[in-house]
Formats: sequence, C-alpha cells, structure tokens
Amino acid sequence: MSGIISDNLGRGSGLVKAASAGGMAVISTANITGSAVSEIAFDALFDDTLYRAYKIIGNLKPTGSAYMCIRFNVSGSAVSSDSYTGTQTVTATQHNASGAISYHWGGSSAKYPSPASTPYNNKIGLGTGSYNFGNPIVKQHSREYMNLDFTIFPDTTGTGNTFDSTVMGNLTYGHYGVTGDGNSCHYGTATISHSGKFWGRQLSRGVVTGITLYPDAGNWDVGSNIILYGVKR
Amino acid sequence: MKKMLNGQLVEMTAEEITAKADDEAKSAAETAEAVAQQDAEAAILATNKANAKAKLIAGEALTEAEADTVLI
Repeated sequence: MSGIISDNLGRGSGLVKAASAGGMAVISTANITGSAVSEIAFDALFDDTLYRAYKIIGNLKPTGSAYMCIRFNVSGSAVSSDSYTGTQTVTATQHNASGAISYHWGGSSAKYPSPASTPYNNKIGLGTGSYNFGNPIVKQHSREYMNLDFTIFPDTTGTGNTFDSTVMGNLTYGHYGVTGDGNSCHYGTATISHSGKFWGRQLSRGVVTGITLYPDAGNWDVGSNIILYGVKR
Repeated sequence: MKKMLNGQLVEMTAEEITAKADDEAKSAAETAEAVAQQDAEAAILATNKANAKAKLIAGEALTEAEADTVLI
C-alpha cells in the first residue's frame, strides 16, 4: 500500500484513500427523497481510462405495479428506437398460505437480431413485454423494493460497434399477480429472480454515454436509492 | 415532472413527458396482450383436460393435446 492519500472520486470532500486497481469507487448516488421521479439516469460519467466496468447496486420501488426498463444513453439521451437484444433466465417460486412451495416456474427467453419485420426491443425490459423477458404475469409490487445488482460493460471507446454494450446482472422481484390470472398470488408470497445478458448489437447508435432506468408505468418512489460504482483499472 | 440525472433533480422537457406517456401506453398494450395470450392458453388447457376426462370415462380416443394433459 502506498502512502498517498487522496480524495475518493465519489466524494466531494474528505481525505479518503482512492480505490486501487480492482477496487470499486463511488461515481454517483441517486437518492429519491421528497417526491417521486420518472427516471434515474447516469450520464457523462463513464471513463474507460479509469474503469474497466461499472456496477449499479441499490433498491428501487415503483409508485405502482411496474417492471424495470433500461435504456442506454447516446449523446446524453436515452436511445428509444428499436436497438436492444438479449437473453434472460427467469425463475419463480410461489408459496401457499401455509408457507409451503406451491408453484415453481423457470424458463429462458431471448430476443435476437431478426428480420426487419420483427424489430428489436426499444428497451431492455425485465418484466412483461411483447417480446420476452420473463413471465408475463410478473410485475414489481409497489410495496416492495426490487434489489438491483447490475454489472455494465459499455463500449465507450468509439471503436468497433459503438452500441455493442452489455449489461449483465441479477434482479429479484416481489411477485405481483395480475388479476384473474391462474398463477396470481398475494403480495409477498412469491419471489421472482431474473438473470440475463443484455446487449445492443448490429445497430450502431453511437458511443454510449450513460444509462437510464425507468419503470414501465409510473415513477420511482421516494426511498429508492441506487449507486453507480466504477471498477478501477 | 422530474427525473434524476447524476444524483440531481432535473425538470423533464415537454418532449420527454410526451415520450414517457407514449412508452407507458405501449407497455400497457403489451401487458394486456401478454395476459390475454396466457389466459387463452390456460383456457385451452382446461378444455383439453375436461375433454380428456370425459373421453377416458366414455372409453373414447383422446387427441394428442388431450393426452398431454393427463400425462405426468
């Protein structure tokens, strides 16, 4: 360990040992207080000369039943055109009133590059959707926090396919059953785990400058809190 | 309506608000489509199961879809 003490990149003041190679540095923190927000975005913070990867860790709670969507930013704005592909594995465990496991479900889904007649997704979705990404009865209940642990490897160098970004991560949902559905269950009685690899491919949209997380409906509620970390080179 | 950018609250533009409304409408339609499809599949399964039971009792031949419902 060297004797150099310097400001941590994630802190505005104070004497903190800077993260060494392989360590994680706080880049930015999003704390939702006061009133809900429509989205949480981190932009113009990626720096490949400093970080080899990025992690987003925290808790998000929607104001109403919703699932999380992700878009990459280019030139400061989230790309909303059909550009995203990916695969995902989903497992679900449901419990009955006595706590016993009453239902197991697992499966994988994918959205690959395909003919123009079947467009790419316009977002990375981790819930329902017309294309894939899981059990269509699943949404995050507004009384529960979803626990985020994402690792991101954005290509911000501008070389090759500049939209060939990758997001990998795990996400746990509380289970929300859609009214009338046979697999519906009460809040708190089941869990859903998502894990997958997501990326933009072939459709170059420009150098990725950031990432935007938003619920498919409503807002991120007060109490939501996520942190963007950089994994030091 | 506000969003959070790099930890700071930012007022959304009119265009961003419109885009959010469009996204929500599309998502609602996708959800309705997915739920309807799942409901339809569940209804078909229930029908096949009922038919399979009736045919087994009557000693009649089952279709493949009906047989699938009674195989464990």
